[in-house]
Amino acid sequence: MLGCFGAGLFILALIIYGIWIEPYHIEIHHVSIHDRYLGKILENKIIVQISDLHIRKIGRRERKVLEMLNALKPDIIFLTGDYVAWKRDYAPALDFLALLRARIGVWAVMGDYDYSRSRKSCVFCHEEGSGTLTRKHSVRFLRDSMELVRFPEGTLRIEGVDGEGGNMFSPGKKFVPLDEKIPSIILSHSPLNFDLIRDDQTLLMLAGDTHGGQVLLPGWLFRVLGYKKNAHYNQGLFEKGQKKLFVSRGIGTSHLPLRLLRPPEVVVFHFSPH
Amino acid sequence: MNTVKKLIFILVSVFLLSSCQKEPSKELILIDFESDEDLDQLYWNCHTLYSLSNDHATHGSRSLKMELFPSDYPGLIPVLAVTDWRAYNEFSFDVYNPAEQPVQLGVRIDDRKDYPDFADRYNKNFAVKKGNNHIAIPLETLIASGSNRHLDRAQIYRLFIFMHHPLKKTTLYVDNIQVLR
Repeated sequence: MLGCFGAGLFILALIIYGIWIEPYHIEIHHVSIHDRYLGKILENKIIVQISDLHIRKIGRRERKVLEMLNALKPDIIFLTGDYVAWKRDYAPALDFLALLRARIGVWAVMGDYDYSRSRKSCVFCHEEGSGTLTRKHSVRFLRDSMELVRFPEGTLRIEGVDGEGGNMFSPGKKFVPLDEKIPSIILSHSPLNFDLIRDDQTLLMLAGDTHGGQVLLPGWLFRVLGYKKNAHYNQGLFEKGQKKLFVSRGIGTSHLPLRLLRPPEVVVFHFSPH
Repeated sequence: MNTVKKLIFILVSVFLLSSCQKEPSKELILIDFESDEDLDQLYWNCHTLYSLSNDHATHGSRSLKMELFPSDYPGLIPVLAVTDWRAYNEFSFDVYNPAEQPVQLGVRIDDRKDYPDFADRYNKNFAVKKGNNHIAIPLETLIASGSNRHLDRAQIYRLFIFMHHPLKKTTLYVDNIQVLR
């Protein structure tokens, strides 16, 4: 009897922790990347990735992320998709994007949730109902496109692979041809796009989507449940040949509003050429 | 005798009831662009702007105005509420071209979810001349481009009406996308 009561109390404590405490306990995750080409350009710069915000309103969690970003004073912010909650209002996410500041710039890709209201997805780049570019924020969305950013140390190529927006022609395979001489960072919401890149290509892909599973579970269980992305690339740094992938646990939650031993994170990259 | 009368009464009743049944509809409108909600039945992509128009409607009072901007394949992808087309013989839609010059309009139909290659899907181009154009595709001609494989009409996943690499902004009005018996 006492055992049952104890187990019940433990489960209740886990639920309270998972719903009301851990999702708001945002960590700063420092990641070192040793890369001869990227390191030459990005060494000593503060490069931040945030992902999977799933914003319903600018609340406690979002304010905390903004405070952390303001304290970090990033040079570049990379956003890897899912700014909105499924089929919810897009306005809070746009308000959040408008508050992001980075010395060099903010680049982003869209995630599948950002297309949950397909018609609304256009407002990330355009004024509603028109082809005019939005002035609401200064985030540069890369939709199967790339930009070259020039630094005194060299040129950085930033590419964005679009989410699942009904792209009829080669979805998820629309990589702009790489120039081996230019260091590349590819933003992709889904980490599974990493498998579509040749192993001998020198680049870093930043992804999200997995939330690190939100709950600490073994990889085989994700496989059994059909979550291929979590089974293969749940969180952290992966390397295959010359290519590297970093998968962020993200900030928000989807499906269930809880996290257990998978806290939200703001990722800070430290690049080094050695 | 009484039993015979009852039997005749039942048979006549059944006959009358069956003859009263509504004829199955000859056509099924997939999307008609009459209300603002219809705009939510489209996949919104870059380089194409959609709005409802009171001009050039061929069914109801409104049509879809499509502004296609220079890019690879701007066009229209509706969300298909009905994907089983086996009961129908023809797919059709109307398109109005306000410009003097004709434009090439592509139609792509997929019967597989995983974005089949060109050779494994239906592809056809139509010349859309100035004014009203009625595009009709007999469903028996839905054959994959690279083989003689007939598309599986029980599972039509995707429909795409698009332009190939327009060099300048092009405006078209589309209406009455339907399948017919």
